[in-house]
Amino acid sequence: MTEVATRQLPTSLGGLAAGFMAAQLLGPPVAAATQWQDRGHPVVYAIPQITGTHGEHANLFAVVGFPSSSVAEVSIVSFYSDLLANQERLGREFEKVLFDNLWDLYAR
Amino acid sequence: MLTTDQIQQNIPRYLTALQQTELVRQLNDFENRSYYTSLFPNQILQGDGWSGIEIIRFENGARDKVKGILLSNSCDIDPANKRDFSPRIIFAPLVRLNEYAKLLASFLGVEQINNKMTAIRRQHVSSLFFLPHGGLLDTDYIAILDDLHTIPFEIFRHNSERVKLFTLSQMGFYLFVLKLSIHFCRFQDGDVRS
Repeated sequence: MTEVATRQLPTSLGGLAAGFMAAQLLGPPVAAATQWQDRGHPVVYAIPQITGTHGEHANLFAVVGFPSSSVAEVSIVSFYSDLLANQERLGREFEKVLFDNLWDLYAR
Repeated sequence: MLTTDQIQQNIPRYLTALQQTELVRQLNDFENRSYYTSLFPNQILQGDGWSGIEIIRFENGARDKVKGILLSNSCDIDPANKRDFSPRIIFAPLVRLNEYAKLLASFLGVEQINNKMTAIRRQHVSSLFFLPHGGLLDTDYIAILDDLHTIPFEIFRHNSERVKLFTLSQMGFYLFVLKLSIHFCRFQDGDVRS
């Protein structure tokens, strides 16, 4: 039996799951749905799901009345852009030494 | 990787304007600022450093206990969030930077090593997160973001040997999240998927 949680997932995951299930189960005509079940696909049961935390505070960043382009925002974007632009790989020789000795290098 | 819009939408609004300004100031000077806070000495949070985390070596099944930094989201590992199934906790083991540098010295030149150490300390190496001396860290460390492990949260939680090494400060945490984003979330990966 396949169990799919659809309740109490507050936003993105719950919404996606519910939307996907609705599209799959409610979308096709009755005849098509019957055929679908007749092919031996598992029946879907909905069970209660403990509240997740995904998206629980999704509006936390958006509802407070800060200007849309505050100095802080601009500065952090600038910082991130600089950080991103300066990224480099560790490099093959450095990676070889690291991964050849990784277990011994772990800090105990 | 994050877009400009995504960053703008995720500025921590729970901070006051003053705290936001301070965060920016610290980020722009992060090499000279503390990554750590003395707050939350006992809580288990994303970005925490802990000792005594059990690790299994894939190649031969060997087991040991190491220092590591937690990647799991704080909410996902909060015991107050009751769950039907216990989560696993994701962590990256820590390596002492000086021990790594000492090993490198057998293979590479001094200047080459020094340049790389500087890049690591400036958080310029995308696969590593640099952790400076501080908190209960006796020296500088690196977390290898390509070497992630999981253990059942209940094993971690009930391990009496684990000790909290550090809690990331606002700046340290933001830096950590930005590095995770750069390393793991590259929307423009160049693959046409449909």
